[in-house]
Amino acid sequence: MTLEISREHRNDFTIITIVGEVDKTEEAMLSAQIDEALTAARPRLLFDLSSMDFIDSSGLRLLVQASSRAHRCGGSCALCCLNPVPRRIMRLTGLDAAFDLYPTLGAALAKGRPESAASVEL
Amino acid sequence: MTEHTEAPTVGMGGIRDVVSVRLPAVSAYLSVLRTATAGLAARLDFTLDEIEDLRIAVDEACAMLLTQAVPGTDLTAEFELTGQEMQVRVEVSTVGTALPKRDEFAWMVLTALADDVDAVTDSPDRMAIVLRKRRGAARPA
Repeated sequence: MTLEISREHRNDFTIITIVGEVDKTEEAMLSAQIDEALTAARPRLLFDLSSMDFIDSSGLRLLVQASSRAHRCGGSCALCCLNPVPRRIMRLTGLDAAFDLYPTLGAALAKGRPESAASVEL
Repeated sequence: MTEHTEAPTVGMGGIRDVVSVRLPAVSAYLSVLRTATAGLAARLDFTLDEIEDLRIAVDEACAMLLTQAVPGTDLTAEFELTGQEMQVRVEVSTVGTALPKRDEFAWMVLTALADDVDAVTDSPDRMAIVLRKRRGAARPA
C-alpha cells in the first residue's frame, strides 16, 4: 500500500488528507474520496498534502477536476502544506496558479491569507 | 522483477552503464520503477530536483504505455547511464500501435520534466518511449 486517504469535517471544510504516493494505481481510491466529499451542497474541499510524497499527472488531474466540480457547486477547493516534490510538479505544469495554496492546515481553516492565491480559473 | 546490469565500459566520457529492469506490465509496479530510477539517477550525482524530475518522468512514460500493454506481458525499462546523462527506454508489447497523444496532459508533464522525449514504434507489436535527462541542463522557461 503506497497511499492512505482520510476524510474529516472540520469548521466548514471537508479535509482530505493524502498520505503517501498518488499514481495511476491509486487514483481510483482518491477519486472515490473526492466523489464522496463532493456530495455536500456547497463543498469546501481542503486537501492536506503534508504527507503526500509524490503525485503524477493522474493525481493532478483528479485535483483539478475536484476543484472545478466544487466551484461549479458554489463551493471551493484549496491545498495546504505542499512538500517540495508536489510543489515542483505543480509549478512546472502551472497548476499552482489554479489553487489557493496555504502553508499550514491551521491557516487554511482560519480562512487566512493564502501563500499563493488562485489566479487561473479552471 | 528481473534486473540486469551490464559490465561497465569506461570510455572517454567516464562511466557508461546499462541497467535493464523487467516488470509485469501493471501499474502496481510503478512505485518499484520510481525507486529504481531515483537510485540510478543518484549514481550520476543528479541534483535532488533532477532526480525527482526523472522519477516522475519515468512514471508518466510507463503509465502511458501501460494503457496500451497486452495483459500478462512485461514492461522493460533500460537505463543507460553516461557521465552527464541518463537515457531511459521503457517498452511494452501492444496490439497494434497507438502513439501517445501529444496534447495529453501526461505527455505535457513528461516533456516538461525530461530534456528529450520520443515515442518509438520499431515494430507493429511494440511501443516504447525514450527520454533523456542531462545533469545540470538548463530548463526552458
